Amino acid sequence: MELAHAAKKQHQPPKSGLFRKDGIKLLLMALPFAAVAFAFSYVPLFGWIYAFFDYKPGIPLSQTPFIGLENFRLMFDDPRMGPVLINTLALSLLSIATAPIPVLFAVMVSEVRSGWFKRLVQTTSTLPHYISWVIVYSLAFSMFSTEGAINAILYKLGISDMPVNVLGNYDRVWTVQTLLLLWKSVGWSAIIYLAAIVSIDSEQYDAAKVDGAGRLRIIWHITIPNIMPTFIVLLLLSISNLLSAGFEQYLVFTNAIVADRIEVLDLYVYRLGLITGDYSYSTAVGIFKSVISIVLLFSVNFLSKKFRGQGIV
Amino acid sequence: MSNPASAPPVRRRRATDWKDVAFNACNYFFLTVLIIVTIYPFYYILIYSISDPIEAQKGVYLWPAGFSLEAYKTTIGLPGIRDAAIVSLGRTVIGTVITVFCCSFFAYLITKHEMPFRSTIYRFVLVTMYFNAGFIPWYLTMKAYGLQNSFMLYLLPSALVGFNVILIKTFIEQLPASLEESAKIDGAGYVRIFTSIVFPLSMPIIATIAVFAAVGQWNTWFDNYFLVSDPKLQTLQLVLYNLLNQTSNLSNLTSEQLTRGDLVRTMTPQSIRMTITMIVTLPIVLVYPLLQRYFVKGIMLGAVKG
Amino acid sequence: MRKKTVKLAVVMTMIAALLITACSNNGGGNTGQGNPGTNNPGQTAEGGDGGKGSQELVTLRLLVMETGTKWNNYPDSEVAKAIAEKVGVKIEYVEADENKFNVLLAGGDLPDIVRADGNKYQKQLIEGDLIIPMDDMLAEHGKDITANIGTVVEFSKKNWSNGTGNLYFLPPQVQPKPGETVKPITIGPTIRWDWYKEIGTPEINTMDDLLDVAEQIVKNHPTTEDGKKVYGFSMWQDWGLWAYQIPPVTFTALTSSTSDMAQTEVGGSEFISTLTNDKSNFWTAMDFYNKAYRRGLLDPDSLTMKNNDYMAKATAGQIVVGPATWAMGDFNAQHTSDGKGYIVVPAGKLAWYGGVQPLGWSDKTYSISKSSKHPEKAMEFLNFLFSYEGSRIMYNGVEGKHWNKVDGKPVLTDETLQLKSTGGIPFESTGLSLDRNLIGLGGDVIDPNDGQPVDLFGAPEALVKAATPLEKDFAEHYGATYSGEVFKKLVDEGKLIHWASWMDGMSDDEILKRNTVPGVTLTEEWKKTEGLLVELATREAAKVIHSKTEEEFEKNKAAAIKAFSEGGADAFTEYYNQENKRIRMEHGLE
Repeated sequence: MELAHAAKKQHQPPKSGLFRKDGIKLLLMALPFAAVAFAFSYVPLFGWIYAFFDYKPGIPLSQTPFIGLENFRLMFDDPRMGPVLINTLALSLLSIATAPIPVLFAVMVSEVRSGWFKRLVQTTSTLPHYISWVIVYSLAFSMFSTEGAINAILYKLGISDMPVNVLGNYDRVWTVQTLLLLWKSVGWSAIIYLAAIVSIDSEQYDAAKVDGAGRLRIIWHITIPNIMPTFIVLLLLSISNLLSAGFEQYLVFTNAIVADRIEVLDLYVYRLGLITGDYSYSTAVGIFKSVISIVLLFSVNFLSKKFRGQGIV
Repeated sequence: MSNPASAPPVRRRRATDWKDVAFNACNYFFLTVLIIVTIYPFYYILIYSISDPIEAQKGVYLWPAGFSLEAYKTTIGLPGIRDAAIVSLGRTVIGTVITVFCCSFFAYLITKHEMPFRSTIYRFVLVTMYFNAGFIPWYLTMKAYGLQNSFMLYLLPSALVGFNVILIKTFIEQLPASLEESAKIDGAGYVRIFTSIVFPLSMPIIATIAVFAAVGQWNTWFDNYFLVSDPKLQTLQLVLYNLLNQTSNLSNLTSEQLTRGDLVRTMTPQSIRMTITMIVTLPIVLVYPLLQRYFVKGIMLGAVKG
Repeated sequence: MRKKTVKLAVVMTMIAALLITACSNNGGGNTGQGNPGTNNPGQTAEGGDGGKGSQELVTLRLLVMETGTKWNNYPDSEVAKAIAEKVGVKIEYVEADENKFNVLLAGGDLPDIVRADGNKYQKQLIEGDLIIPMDDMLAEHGKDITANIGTVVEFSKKNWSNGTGNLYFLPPQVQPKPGETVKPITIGPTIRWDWYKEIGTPEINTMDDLLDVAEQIVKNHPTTEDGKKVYGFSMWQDWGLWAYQIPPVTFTALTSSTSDMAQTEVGGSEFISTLTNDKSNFWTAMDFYNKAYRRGLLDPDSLTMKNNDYMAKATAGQIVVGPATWAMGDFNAQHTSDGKGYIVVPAGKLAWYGGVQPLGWSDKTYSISKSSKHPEKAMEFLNFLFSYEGSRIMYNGVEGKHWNKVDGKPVLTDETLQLKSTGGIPFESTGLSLDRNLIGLGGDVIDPNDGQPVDLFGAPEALVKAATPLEKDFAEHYGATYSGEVFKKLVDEGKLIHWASWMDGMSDDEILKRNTVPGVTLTEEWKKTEGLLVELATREAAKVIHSKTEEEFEKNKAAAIKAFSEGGADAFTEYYNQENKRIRMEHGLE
C-alpha cells in the first residue's frame, strides 16, 4: 500500500543531456579522491610480486629465485587447508546468520521513549567493542572456567555437580565463539541502523498512525523496509568478506581441545608464518583472499541486481 | 478502520493499550539485560584496575580485591605520555574531519548519475577494501612518499575508506530527489548543494562515520610502530603498548628474582592491561553520548513541503 | 551559515594539519622506534680514535628482537655512564618484532648494531649486503674478542657466515666451562616446602613417587586458607609442548637439541623420536598427567589455561607441584616472613644446573650494520662486552661503588646485595645485569685476573648472603649452607647428575670440541613438518590425558602414535639422526 511505497524514494537518473558538461565537472572533482585511493591502496600492490618469488626480506628481488605459482600449488595441496577453510566458512556464515540481531536491537532502542535510558543503552552496548579480545578472554576465563563465576552459581543453585567446561568444549566451539562475537559487535553494528532509523521520514509514521496501525505493524511496515537497503548492503559486504572470519579472537581462544575447529584461515597462515618465516607464502594467501573477496562481491552484486533490481556497486 | 479523509488528524487517546504496555515491558526488559551484560565486563575492568595487582589474581567479581592506584600511577607517570595523548587527540580530531569530508563528498559525487565513468570510479575505490599487500610493500610505499616520521602519515592513508563511502552513498540515495532538483533550479552548483543540503541532511550517517573514524584513529598504533620513531609523534596507544610489553616480559626480571622464585613485583601485566583499557576507553565513553545528539533527523522535510 | 561553518572548519583543519606537519617532519631519516623516554640522540663524534674519556658521545642504535626491554628507561644508569666513560658510546635500543624486522630488512633500514638469530638470518643479512664483516677491525678494535672467545670466532666464521668464511656474528653469554658454584635451582619439581616437610620430605625418584607425594599433600590440604581448591598439578597451554617436554627431564635426563621432535640423553648423540617412542619425555609426561587426571590430582582447566591464569592460581596457593620457581606467580613474594613457599627439591636423576654455552646464546648474535656511520665504535663496544672488565661492569657495576677489592678478591658491597634483593626500580636504575643478552661472557666464567666468577652475584658468599629464609630452611634441612649446595652434594655423592656431568674427566679441548658441534639446521620443508607435528601433538595430548581408564589410555596412545607416524614423525627422526651423524663426522667426532 502507500506505506510500502512511501519507504522507497530513489534518485532517478536525469532526463536528458542537460547536464553533460556538468558530468565532466563531477568527474574532475572525483578524480583527486580516486588518486588518493590509488596512491595508498593500489600502489602497494606491487608487493604481490613477492608471492611469485622465494622472497626473503633483505635480499633484493633480482637475486631471488623465481618460483611462479609454486605457493599457490602448495596452498591447494595442503591437507590442512580443507579443514581450515571449513572452519572459516562455518564461523563466517554463523556470524552472517546473526546479522538481523543488531537490526532488531536498533529497532528496540529506537522504540524507547525515555531519553536517558536510550542514551544509556546506546553507550553501554558499544562498550564491548572497545575491549580487546585479550581482555575478553580473561573475562571469559574468570566467568567460565571450572572455578569461574558461572560454575560457582550453577553449583550453588544445585543445577549441576560437574563443572561445565565452556571454553574447552569441542562440540560447541562454533556456537560459543559466535555468541562472543555477537556480544562484542551488536552495539557497534547497531549504530549504523540507528542512524538509518532516525532518518526515516516522520510523515510515514504519521500517516500510519492515522490509519490506526499498532506499534508492531508500524515497525514491520515502515521501520524495517526503510532500513532494508542499508541492511542489504551490509549483508552483501559481509558475504564478500567470507574468508576473513577474524583473527585475534581465535588467537586468544584457541587451546588444545578446540584447536581443530577454531583455526581459521588468517590464524593458520599466521602460525605457518611463525614456523617457516615464509613471507612469500603469506603474500600468496593474501592474493587468494583478495581475489575471492572481489569475485564474491561482484557475484552477490549481480544476484542482487537480478532479484532486487539493483545492486550495491 | 477509520476513514482517513474524514477523521481529524489528531492522535486519539486510547484507554490503556495493553499491547503497547506489553511491548514496552518486553523492550525494557531485554534492553536492561543487555545493559547488564555489556556493562558488567567494563565494570570488571574498572575494579580490576583499582585492585591490588597481586591480590587481583585470586579473582575479582563484584568488588575490587584490595585497593591500589599503583597501576594508574605507573601508567600516567610514563615519560612522554602527555605529549602522546596530545598527538593521539590531534590525529583523532583532524583525521576524523578529513575522513568525514573526503568520504562524504566523494559519496555525494558518486550518486550523480550524470558523471561519466561513474560506476568505474566507484568500483575502483570500493575494491580497495579487499586489498592488503602486506607490511613490507606498505612500508616501502609510505617511505617512498616521504611519510616516514610525518604527521601526515596518520591522516592521509585513511582519508578515503570504501566502507564509509558505501554507507554514505546508500544514505544519500534515500534522500528525496526533489530537494536537490529545487536547489538546482535555483541555480546552485554541486558543491553548494552538497554543503547546504546533502551534508546537513545526512547528519546521522555522517555522525556514524565520524564515530567510526574517530575510534579508529584513537586506537591505531601500527603506523606509528613501523614508520615513526620521532618521539614527538608517538601516539598514546604505542606508549601504552610499550608499557604493557615491559610488564609482560619475563626476562626483565633480574635473574635473582627468577632464581629465588620471589617474583617480587608490584605490578602484573593483567593490571596494566586493565588500566590501559580504562585510560584509552574512558574518553570515548565520555564523548560518545555527546555525539548522540547528531543522531536526529536533519532539518529536512519542512523545507520541501513548504 | 551552515555551509560557511563547514567550509571554515575544513580550511582550518587543513591549516592546522600543515602546521603540525611542518613542525614535526624531519626528513624521515630515522627508522626503527625509540621509546619516548630518550629524547636526546646525542651529538656525533669524530671517527674511531678510541674516544676514551672524550666529551663527545657517539650514539649507537641497537636493534633487539624483543619487545618490552627496559634499557632505554635508564639512559643515565651507572652502567650506562661507565660505558660512556670507557668506550665513548651511548646505547639506544630499537625494538622490533618479527614483522618489523622483516620490514627493516626489506627497506634496508637497520640501525648500527643488530641483535638477531645469526643462524636463521645469516643468508638474508649477508646476501642482502646489510651487515659488514668484522675481520679487519678485530686487530685494532677487537683484541679482547680474539683473546677471550677465540673458538667462538672460529665457529662463527665457519658456520655463521653464509659460506663466506668471514666473521659476522658474535653471540653473548659465552661460557665454555660449567660454573663452580650452584645458584638456586629454578627448574625441577617445585613443591610447597612447608607441606612437603609435613609429610617428611620423602624421596622422589620416579614420577610415580611424585604422584604419591602430591596425593598425600592434597589429602592433608584439600583447600587453601581462602577456601580455594588445591590441585596436585596444573599446566598452561600457550607455550606449545613445554609442559610435556620440560618437567619430565629431571626424571628421564633426556633432552632435545635443535628440535623438540628428537631427544637424546644428556651428552648423547643418538636421537629418538619424541612422539613415537614411548620412552621420550612426551610420553613420560602423557603417562604422568593421565595418571594424575585419573587420580583426581589434575586441574580441570589444565588443557585450556594460559600462563597468566596458571600464575594466578599459583599466587593463590592452589598448586602443589609446579615445574619451575618462576612459574609460581607471586606466592613466595607474599610469604617471605612465614617460611611458606615453593622451592625446587632434589628428585629423579638430574639437577638442573651446570649448563655450558661454549657458543653463547646463539639466537641473540650481534652484527654490525652496513649503514652504520660508526662501525669502529660499534666494534669497540662489542669488544668491551667480551672483555673481563667490561662484562664485570655490566654484571656488577663499578669498582669502588658497587664492589671492592678485599684482599685482592673482588667482593660485592652489602649495599649492592641489599639493592638486588629489593629489586624494582631502585635496582633497575643502576643498570646492573639489566640485560643479560648484552653481556658477552657468561656469569660463571672465571676471571683469570682474580679467580672469581665474572658475575660476583654468583660467588658463594653472595649466594649465602642473598638466601631467603625459605632457602635457608631448605638448605639446613639437607645439611648445606646454601640451597644450590644441596644439589651439589648429591651430585658429588653420585646420586644425581647435572648438565655437564657427562663431561667429567674430559680435557678442556675435548669439552670444547664436543660442545661446538653445530646442531642440525632444519630445512623449510622439515620445519613445516615439525610445526605441524607440534600442533598435532598438542591436540592428541589433550585426548590422551583425558583417558578415563588404563585401557582407554592405551587405545588413545596407540592411535596418537599412529597419527604421529603418519604425520612424518619417524621420517623426521631418521632424517635428523642422519644429518646429525653427518655433521659430527665433519667435525671429527665419529
